Amino acid sequence: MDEPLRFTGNWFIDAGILGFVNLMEEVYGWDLKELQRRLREEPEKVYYGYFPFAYLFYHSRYYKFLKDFHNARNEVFKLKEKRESEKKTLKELEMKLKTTNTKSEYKKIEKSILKTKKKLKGIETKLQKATKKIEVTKEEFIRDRDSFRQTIEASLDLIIEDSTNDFQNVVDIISKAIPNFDLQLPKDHRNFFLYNPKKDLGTSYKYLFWLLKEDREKLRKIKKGKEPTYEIRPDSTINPFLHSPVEFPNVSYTKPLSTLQLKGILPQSMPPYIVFLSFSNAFQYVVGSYVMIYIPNLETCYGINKRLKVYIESTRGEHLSLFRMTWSAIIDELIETKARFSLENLYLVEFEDIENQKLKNVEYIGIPKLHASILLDDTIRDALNTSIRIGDSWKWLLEEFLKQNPLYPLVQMHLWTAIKAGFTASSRTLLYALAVDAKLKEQAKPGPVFGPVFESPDRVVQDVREFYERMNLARLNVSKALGEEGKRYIHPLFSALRKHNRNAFMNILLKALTQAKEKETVKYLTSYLINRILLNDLAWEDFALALLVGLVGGGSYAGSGGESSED
Amino acid sequence: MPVPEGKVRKIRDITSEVLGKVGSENYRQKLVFDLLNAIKANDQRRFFWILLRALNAHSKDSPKAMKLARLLGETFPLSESDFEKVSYSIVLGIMAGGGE
Repeated sequence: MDEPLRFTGNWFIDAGILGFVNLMEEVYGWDLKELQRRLREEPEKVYYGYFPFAYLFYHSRYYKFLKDFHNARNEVFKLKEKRESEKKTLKELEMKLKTTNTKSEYKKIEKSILKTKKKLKGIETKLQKATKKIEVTKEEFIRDRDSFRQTIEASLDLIIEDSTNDFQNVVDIISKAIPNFDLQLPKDHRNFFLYNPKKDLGTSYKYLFWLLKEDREKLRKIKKGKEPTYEIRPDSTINPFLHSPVEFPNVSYTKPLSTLQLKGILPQSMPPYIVFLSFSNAFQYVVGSYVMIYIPNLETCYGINKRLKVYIESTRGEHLSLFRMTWSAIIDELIETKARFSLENLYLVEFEDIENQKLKNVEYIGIPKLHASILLDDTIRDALNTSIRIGDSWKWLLEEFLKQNPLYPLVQMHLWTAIKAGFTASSRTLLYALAVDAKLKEQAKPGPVFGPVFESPDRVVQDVREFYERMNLARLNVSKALGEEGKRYIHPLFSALRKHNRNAFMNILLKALTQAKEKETVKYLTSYLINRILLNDLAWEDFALALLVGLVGGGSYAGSGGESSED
Repeated sequence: MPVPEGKVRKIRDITSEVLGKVGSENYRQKLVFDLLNAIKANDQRRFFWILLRALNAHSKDSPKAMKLARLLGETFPLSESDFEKVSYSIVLGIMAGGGE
């Protein structure tokens, strides 16, 4: 079925559409499906009734609730920290009391203990009060929100009908619709009519209604004769991603897009200004940044961003990185929907903050097709979805892969750590990392001028898997051929690899192999050595390091079927 | 011009057939060791001297040995990176042990 709400393919406009969906869900509790249903049945009521009220509720009562809630929660957090520190002091004092010998010292400590206990009691009382405050804040908000929802459901038809009288007959209903109404200026708006200065609920709704209807006459009347400007051509007044034609007249040779032009791009009957008013709702705050994961398909985009929201809420307090959180959401959604198209057209839009209505550190991150196809393979992704130890820190291989960093140095450094600490990650993880790295190195080689432009993504995945198989067999064979003796060669081989010296690597390894007891296994290895190392100038190090994985990992030997020749 | 990969593989295959089974296990081990030391020193003259001596001693009249000598003659002298490829492919050929 053709849904009333869809994406346009332009990320900026689509962010507004996603923000609209998020806003309606936040305020009325409707998910995308419910919103689509309502838009099919009563678009006029949603766009010109539910939406403006949702916007006003969000930027007044809801905003205040979030502020109060965060403050109260921070207070609880601080008190808990204080309590822990006092408890620690008390414990120390009690220990001191047991070991003290002098009477005067004993009395002094006893006094301090009493003082600390009193302090602890005070903190406990404050903590109870603060916890209670969180509850009360929540309860009050839910009460106000329910009352708001009821009023809107009951009176919206009446309100919209009265637009012909410029809402003269419903002034009372409107002004009481949002309990404790007090507008709070959003960071992304600048000198927007509603906040400059703050308007009452009646004027605010009227202004938004005529703004969405694009009625210049009515807007002029509300603005006391002032000509509408950004209402016709939205600029940085309403969104910091847009420039201001007054401040930067030379930015573009034409004026910004007008609402009329936008109308042609938007889904049918959707008022253009919804995009600008909802834009910020598309972003979520994750560890120091505002993030939106963009995919040019509304359902998947909504799904991923909703998942991200759940992640943020469930991991509150834990210090997960932004990268890990966003990609976990993306990968989970991918596993469920198997949407190759989505991943190949995925972008992360991220900014640190809006200060004085200016964006700070905006980043747009895309993902290359090649990486996408590798990531979509369950086996490879599972293997890379692991953190490996490097020195004293841990590196998440998937993160490095998505950042398009080479994986070879990480595996190398991990093996070095493993040699010293005696603990290795699974050889499956390390070999897949090397196989992917080798394939990416191969891809980076400039191809023939008249060669095929794109390699099929399936082919890439197949190659990675084949590389892995080869590496795995070679790893097993080398460890079988050299046995415990192999440990002796780890350091010289490692040193040759670190110096990127293929000649030395081959020399040391072949000398070791001439003394190997398992002559048959050596035979199988010779093909690997010639095809993957000697005749592979681009990625020989990946295949060489795979052999070291076998030597460091040591113990696992190939079974009877483990030997293989490449010819 | 660098030695094509196909040629390198061919040299390996023929070496394997010609020298893979000659002499005792110890002889071949000694031969490989000597060759590896020559490669390590990047000493082409010494490498070919050892190799040709082995060929002369064991497979003088075999047509395969003559083919190998001809192939090597075509590629000689070699750049350092080509020498690495050709010489190791010869060593690997000997180590692979030859097909019967």
